[in-house]
Amino acid sequence: MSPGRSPSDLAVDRAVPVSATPSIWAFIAADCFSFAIFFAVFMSERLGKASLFDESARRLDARLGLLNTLILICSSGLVAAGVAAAQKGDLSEARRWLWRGVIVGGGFGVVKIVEYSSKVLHGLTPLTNDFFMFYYALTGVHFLHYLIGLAVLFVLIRKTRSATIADSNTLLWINSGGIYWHMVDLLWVFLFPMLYLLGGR
Amino acid sequence: MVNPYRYVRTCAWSGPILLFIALVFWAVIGHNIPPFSADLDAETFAAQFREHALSIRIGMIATMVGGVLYMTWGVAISKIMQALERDNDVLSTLQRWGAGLTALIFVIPCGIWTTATFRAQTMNPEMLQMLYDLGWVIFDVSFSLTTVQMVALGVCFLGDTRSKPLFPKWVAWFSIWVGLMFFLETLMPFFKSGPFSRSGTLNYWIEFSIFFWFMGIVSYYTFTSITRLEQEHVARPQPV
Amino acid sequence: MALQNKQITNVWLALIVATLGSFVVAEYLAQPRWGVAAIMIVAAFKVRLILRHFMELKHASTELRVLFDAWILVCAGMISGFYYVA
Repeated sequence: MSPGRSPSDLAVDRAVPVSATPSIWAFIAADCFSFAIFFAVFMSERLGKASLFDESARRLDARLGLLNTLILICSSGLVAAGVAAAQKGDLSEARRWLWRGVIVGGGFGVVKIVEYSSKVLHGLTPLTNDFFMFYYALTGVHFLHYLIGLAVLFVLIRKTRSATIADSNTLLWINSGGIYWHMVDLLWVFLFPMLYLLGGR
Repeated sequence: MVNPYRYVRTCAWSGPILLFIALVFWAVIGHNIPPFSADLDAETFAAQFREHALSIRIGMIATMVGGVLYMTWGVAISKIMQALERDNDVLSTLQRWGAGLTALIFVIPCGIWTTATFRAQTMNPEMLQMLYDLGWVIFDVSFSLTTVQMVALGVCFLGDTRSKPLFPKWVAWFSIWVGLMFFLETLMPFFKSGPFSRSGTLNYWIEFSIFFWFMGIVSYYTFTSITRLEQEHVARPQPV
Repeated sequence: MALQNKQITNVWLALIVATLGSFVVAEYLAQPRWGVAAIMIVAAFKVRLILRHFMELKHASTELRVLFDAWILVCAGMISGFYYVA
């Protein structure tokens, strides 16, 4: 299957140069936009049901939520270090940091599963009330993002292995993948207080 | 001279035409802005449905007939993707299949809704409601057929190494994002009211809006890409 | 445009301190009503740190920076706003 390029385009047949603004930002913007909508829907549904929502929120374990926030922040830091190493051209160093990021980040999944199980065992399911419907839906959607993020990190680790040098295409992947992982972190930074802390004590 | 892009533009027109049919016939004439709430009891639903049965029937028939255009649209997009694919034609094939199967999701639920209008005046309200619900479950929860099309398309266009890509990268990312956003529809069968229900803020207003934007934006760039590819083909030295 | 390890450490530390600090305030110190505004401001500050430094938004286009600053304001403002109106 011939690519069918015109002569002027053939000169372009090289890896896309890494710009300061990788195109994944379009996805990040769209996804952050959708989360803003989720926040708006949650908070507007809360109007008029504030005591129900607050009382339900108090049944969540804020310490687990806090732990998860700290886990993702640490994981983000480790991944950032991996990206920094890749930018300096040291792919094996990058790979080490990315692995640390994956291992620490994996803790989030473990805590989440523990949390969901404990809630369900106490009879708190998505059908319990409106708050819990949102709690499960929002953290569930975030969890899907998180799982995709883990997969992305594994892909990045594989790229550090298969690439011999930190060429622009590899760097684009690593920069973009890191940016996605940081998004998973920052979305949780808003989700945590909104879901766990508004109810107070 | 061989023209590898013959008929492609014609197929590409399917996109805008189906978008028009979907908005005018399915949405407006078909009384789907928004659909009837799942929260209504059967009697109330039946009364409202019967009142608009003729209009809905017309809207749904038009959508059933127009549904095939999603498939033909996908064929046009495939030809663009084939110009970019280097290793094999997996992505364009996935896109074509995704588009083809999505065409059925226009046809079948609309067939069910048309059936509901057929004897609406005399049918028992629970049966009417069940048919309506049936159409909506299939319509909404079959999203992954379309996700495959959108993700394949997006991944392919992200791999375009032209200095000025045929499809801008943000469109490729938008396509992937829309395909993944559809996963919210997994929640639809759990709710009869609220943002996750079939007429809710998220599972109707947001999801359907982004789908229509996807059709419009991708249609636009399909046309511009066809023009560029035709020009490139003509500019290329021909075998003697 | 590269990330620096020192910068990463500083940002990470700021995020950890901000997280622990606002949690202590939320759970143990402040009245819920005053506390929420403080928590959301701190959350906004944390999100901005992640965007600007970890995600290197400070090296990206001006439009993106403005867009995300607006997004942060809208999200934090909306959550706080709806909270106080409820």
